[in-house]
Amino acid sequence: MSSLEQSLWRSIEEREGDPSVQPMVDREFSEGASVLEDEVSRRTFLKMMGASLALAGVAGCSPIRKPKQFIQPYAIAPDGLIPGEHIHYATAMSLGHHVMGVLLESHEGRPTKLEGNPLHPSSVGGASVWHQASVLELYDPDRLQHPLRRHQAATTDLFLGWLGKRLAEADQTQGKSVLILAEALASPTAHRLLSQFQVRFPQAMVVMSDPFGLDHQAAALQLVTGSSLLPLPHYEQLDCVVSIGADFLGADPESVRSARQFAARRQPEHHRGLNRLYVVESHYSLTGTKADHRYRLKPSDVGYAVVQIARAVVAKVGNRALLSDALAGWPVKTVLPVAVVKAIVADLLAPGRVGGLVVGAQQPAFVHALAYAINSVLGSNGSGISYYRFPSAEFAVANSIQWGEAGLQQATKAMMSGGITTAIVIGGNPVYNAPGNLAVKEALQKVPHSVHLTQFKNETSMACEWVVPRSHYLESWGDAKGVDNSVAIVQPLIEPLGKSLSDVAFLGAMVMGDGVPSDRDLVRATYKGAGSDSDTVWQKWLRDGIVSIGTPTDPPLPQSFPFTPPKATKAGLELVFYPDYKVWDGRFSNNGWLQELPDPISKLTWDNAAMVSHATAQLLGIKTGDMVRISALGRSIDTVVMIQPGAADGCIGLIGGYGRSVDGRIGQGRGFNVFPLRQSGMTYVAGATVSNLGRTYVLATTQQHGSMESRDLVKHVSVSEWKDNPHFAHKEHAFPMVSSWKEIAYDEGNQWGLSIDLSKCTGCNACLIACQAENNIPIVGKDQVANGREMHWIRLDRYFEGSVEDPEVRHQPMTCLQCENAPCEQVCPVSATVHSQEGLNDMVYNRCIGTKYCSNNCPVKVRRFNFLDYHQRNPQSVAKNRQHLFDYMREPDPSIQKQFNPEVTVRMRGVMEKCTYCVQRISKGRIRAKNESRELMDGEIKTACMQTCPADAIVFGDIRNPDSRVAKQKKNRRNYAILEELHLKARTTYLASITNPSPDLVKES
Amino acid sequence: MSVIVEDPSVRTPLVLGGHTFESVSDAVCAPVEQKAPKWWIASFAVAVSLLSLMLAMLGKLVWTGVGVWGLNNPVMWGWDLVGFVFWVGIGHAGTLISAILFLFRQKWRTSINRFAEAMTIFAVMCAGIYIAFHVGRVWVAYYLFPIPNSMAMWVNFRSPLMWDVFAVSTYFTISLLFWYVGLIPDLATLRDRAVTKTRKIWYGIFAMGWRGANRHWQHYERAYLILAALSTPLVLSVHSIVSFDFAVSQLPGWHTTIFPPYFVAGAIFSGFAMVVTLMVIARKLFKLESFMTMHHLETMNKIILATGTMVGYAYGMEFFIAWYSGNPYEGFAFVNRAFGPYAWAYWTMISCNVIFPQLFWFKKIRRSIPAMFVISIIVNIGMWFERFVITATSLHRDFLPSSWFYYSPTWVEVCQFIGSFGLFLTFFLLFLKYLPAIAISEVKGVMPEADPHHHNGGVH
Repeated sequence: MSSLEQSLWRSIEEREGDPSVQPMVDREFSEGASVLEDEVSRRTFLKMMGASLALAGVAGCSPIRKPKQFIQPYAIAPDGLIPGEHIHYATAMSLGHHVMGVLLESHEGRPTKLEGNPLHPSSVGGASVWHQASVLELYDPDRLQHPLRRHQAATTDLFLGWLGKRLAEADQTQGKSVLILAEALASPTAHRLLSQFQVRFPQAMVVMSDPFGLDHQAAALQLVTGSSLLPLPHYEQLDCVVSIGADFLGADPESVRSARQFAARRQPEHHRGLNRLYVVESHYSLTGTKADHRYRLKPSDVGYAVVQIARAVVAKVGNRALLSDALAGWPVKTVLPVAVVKAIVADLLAPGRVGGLVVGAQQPAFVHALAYAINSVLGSNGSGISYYRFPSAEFAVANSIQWGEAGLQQATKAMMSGGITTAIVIGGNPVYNAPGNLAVKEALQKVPHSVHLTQFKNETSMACEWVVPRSHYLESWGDAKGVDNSVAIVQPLIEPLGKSLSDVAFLGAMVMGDGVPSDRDLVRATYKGAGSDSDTVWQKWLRDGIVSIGTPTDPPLPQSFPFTPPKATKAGLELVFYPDYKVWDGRFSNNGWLQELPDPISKLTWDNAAMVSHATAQLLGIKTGDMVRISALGRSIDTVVMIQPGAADGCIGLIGGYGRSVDGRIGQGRGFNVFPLRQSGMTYVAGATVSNLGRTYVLATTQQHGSMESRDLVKHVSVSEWKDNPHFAHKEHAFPMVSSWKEIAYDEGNQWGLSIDLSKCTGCNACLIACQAENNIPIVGKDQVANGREMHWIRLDRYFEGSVEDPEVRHQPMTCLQCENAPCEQVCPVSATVHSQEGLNDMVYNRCIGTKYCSNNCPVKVRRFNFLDYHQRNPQSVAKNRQHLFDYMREPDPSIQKQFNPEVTVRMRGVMEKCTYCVQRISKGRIRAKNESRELMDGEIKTACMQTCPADAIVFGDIRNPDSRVAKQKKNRRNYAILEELHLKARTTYLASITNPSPDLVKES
Repeated sequence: MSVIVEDPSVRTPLVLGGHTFESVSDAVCAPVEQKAPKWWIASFAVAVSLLSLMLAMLGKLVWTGVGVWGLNNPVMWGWDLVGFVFWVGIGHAGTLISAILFLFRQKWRTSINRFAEAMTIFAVMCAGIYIAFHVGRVWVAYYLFPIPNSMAMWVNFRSPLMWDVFAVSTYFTISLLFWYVGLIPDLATLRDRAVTKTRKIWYGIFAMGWRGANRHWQHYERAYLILAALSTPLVLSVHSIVSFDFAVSQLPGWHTTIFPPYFVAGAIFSGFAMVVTLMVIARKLFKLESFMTMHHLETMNKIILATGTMVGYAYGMEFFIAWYSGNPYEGFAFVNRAFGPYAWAYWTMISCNVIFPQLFWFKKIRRSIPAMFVISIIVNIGMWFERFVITATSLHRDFLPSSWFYYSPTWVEVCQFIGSFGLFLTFFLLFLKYLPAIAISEVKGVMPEADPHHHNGGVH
């Protein structure tokens, strides 16, 4: 024993040399432990070696199963960051001229989920599908990663060298040979830099154009009022809204604000009562679904509806605001029934009530002008409808910038004539979505030098010499001034994922010609006089996500009315064009969430279709799924037909944004391109013909049956009926309802519940995408949707009521009802779905073996089954970085994985899933309250659907707390539970929808 | 074929052809002891190919996921559960013949019970494969068993699927035991007659030392009686519990109290039809006409007629209750069955199950081999459609019209179902080749020679 060992002892007995402990000390293991004491025989040795080798072989497989991964801590943690806790940052997203403030949830530097910014007037906390889905776009692996020159990889430095050379050449002609073709830019800094560019190159041609822009509206108001104004209706103040083709609740980037205001007036409890909505339109829009009276007219007649209303107004109040002068020389056409016009005018002129006309951006200029004049007469200009200076138009006027379709037409002409040697295309995709009569592709190919700043390789970039990656708004500095003149700073949430340039940096490089400037500095410089010098002010702007809120200007009386009636329309069908509810003008077409989102009216996914009314389809001998060739003005497209109940007869609704020939793996080749049939300067195209190609095409819809089958699912009555019978939604049961099992009281702790106000819900799908983003819900692809396997946890049920020609539409968002007597729980053999003490119907994914019995027993069919490994089957998935015999070989792209919410399990195939009331948010809130030793406050926990709902139709909270919003809402007389007779005791309940039809028109019918 | 004497005072003889005890043993053992005939080898090759097809489909299913089937959101059960109930139903005849008819001393059962029991076991195996593989994650299907574990998991005894697991596994176990116990004396006969050593050893092992001693017979008969008594409630319970999978849920079209008796009747109906189909072929091929006589077949057909009529009554009663209950959802479910998108399936079911079996009222048809062969196949097609109608048409349109969807199977489901016949036939052909298809000892027991007062009484 060494001296060290001598000084160590294990017990007093040992130290004192008790011989009885000696054997114990010698033994390494205590008595009873099995030890190999025999001498190792050759045979045993070989056996052990064999076994060891075999085990080593098994162990050798383990690195295959589990790849080595390192978790690295921050060397220097960012300020305020607590690992595992997300932080919200404010920024703003612009869509065309429209801007919305948003808050981004960031997990250790990864933005994963977007919410509306409550401080921003365009959002007030809500967000639309496009905003929600923009997070996925950030991580899209198909985005360009580095500049391309003639489709070959290049560097930013090479590009800058090229750009410098081109601009140096242009200096000689004062820029006469330079064309800048930009999409609508809402950024004041971009405007500032473009003006600077024009100072250097006064002869350069600068054009701003969007396929679904505000050209007609801005041009009309410019002519009528002499200044660049845009109307912004205040729907909460309007008692009567007459929409002329305006889809202000749907495919309008400003719809979040409009929906919030409008929905507030759809509650009979509002202190000013229900508003009344008349809609005149050609196809069924979301706004049309909320109408109290809807009239379907073909596009050439829609404008005459305004003429008819204007005449009736003049007949009532005499010539005011140039209205009679404006109408002189216009033919008298009765497109709306006389009684209807009478009722509309009576509502508009009702004393003490504010009424106004709202015109869709895609309507011709004279309609906007007439509506402005009528609103002036009604006195709603300035009260119910505010007017703001239109930043883009003002900028264009001040800098003699061409804009809109007219500008695009001039630019094409200039390129065709060979006068342009350098074309700089900023964003947009004019080759794809310019009207068919402008051969933008041919024109662009004539230009020897061209560059396209774009996020994705598209049709336009294929025609350009250089393609420069454009930064996503979540990875760039910028600013944005909306149509309401409110200004917000765009701040990056993440370093650019590729070698991309932000709009501001690109323009800065162009203007300054000295490398890539800091976009942050450029933005800050724009607000030098306004306080950006002060760090405190700047920080406040960034924190709040808003710099300033705009002030409306006084709308002047109409000054002139230089419009002539449109030429009589040709015979034949009329074609009317709409932006898509999902991919807009095609800019979102590589977004899987949006592609798989069901269209709110047709429930179509992954495609567009030519929408025709039932009667027109019968006349043409076509039906849903038929392939047709639509020809007009010497051009034609092949597309698929879908019969849309409630579409106007004699016209075809064509939805833009699909049929992309060059796009990423998600968007390419989806649907049909309708832009070739568009004609610049025309809001619709007349004289079209249709021929049946004799082929059919599979359309994947998420709802096959549109009728409610007289079942009392969406309860609705008119406000007068409701006043007679305010308890109509309440159902008396003939016999007491009892469960076969012991019923649990659920009278302790928080008891969660949800209430959905069907009066407010516009069916806009925002909740659906918010839920998808929050809960890591995969997309499944068209073939799977066609087989009814979409995974969305929220289903927006859409029912038609009435005739197939002119039905009404009801929306009903369907979440898991979280039944207290849940039928799914009883039948699960493995207890994979069980009830929590807080009344939630929980799914235990690890226990689920996938018998699918729960779904069969779910009366509302809200359970979703992972029939396949949908993350693996996504076209953007990549090979796994590990291999195993029983493992699956693909996984989501590492970039897409960054979007996943770390607080929500990613489900594997073979398990059932469904709405959880965002249980991760509940847990988070509960923990926070517990840490702060307090009770949870009402409204502290919001489900993803509630938080994003533009209409504020969804309310979640503790139903045991009598002061909570949800508890109060459930006490509302309109409250009802769906399929109550099954004794489900559902936690999700609905408020019946109340409509407000004109008593005069109800009497008529 | 000899003419049956229709004298009510005289029982119809159960064995024809002037057999003696020895010739019975010879006749029944002949297929086992002879070289496999050509038709057997050919059929076996087909059966094994089909079995491989099923295994390939299962492989694809497990590798890719349940999505290879055509199931969708409202219709989460399709050909899988249809196949399960179909096979369990077929497996019903065996127990009925062996247990209930035994307890009721129906002597005519002796020449068909072995056959029917074998069919039961193989059919339940097919059903078991369906119930195991219809789940999304078959590798954790063991969660269905109440095995104490460290995962804090326990099964849910409120779930009818749980009851199903117990019912089907109990049924399989008891049926297998019953079949095996009945086989023991015959295995000993085969052992004693064996000429090769392999046969001696293998039949010897499974004959468990049977020597035909008085004590053996006593124990044997006691065991057989106990097993018969144990299986009798199973005849009613298995299919009642299978029907609970549907009846206990609240889906309109499933939530029906008539289901247990209606399912049991349907199961006997389909099981007997399957026995007739197989018997008609086997008696011809193995020349067993003297044991599986026309009297047997006619009796079977009478039961088919009776149970078919019961099933028809149940169909009618379902409609009556759907109307009488005043439940709009249930009313719709039944109107939708008859006139909805799956009306073709409904009317196929009605004609196969209700209309065609009525032909058995005619003695001529009841005793015509081709007619009964065709009708028995029609009945099984009809019973497959009955399960399809119950499962798919109820699911595809339930409470909310927004979730209504149509369901069609994929080729994988179809091939798997076809393949499941491969499993069934493979085992069945092996059974015919290696085991006595008729219970030799029991048949001897019902021959006149077994009567102690017979002129040749007691002489074996």
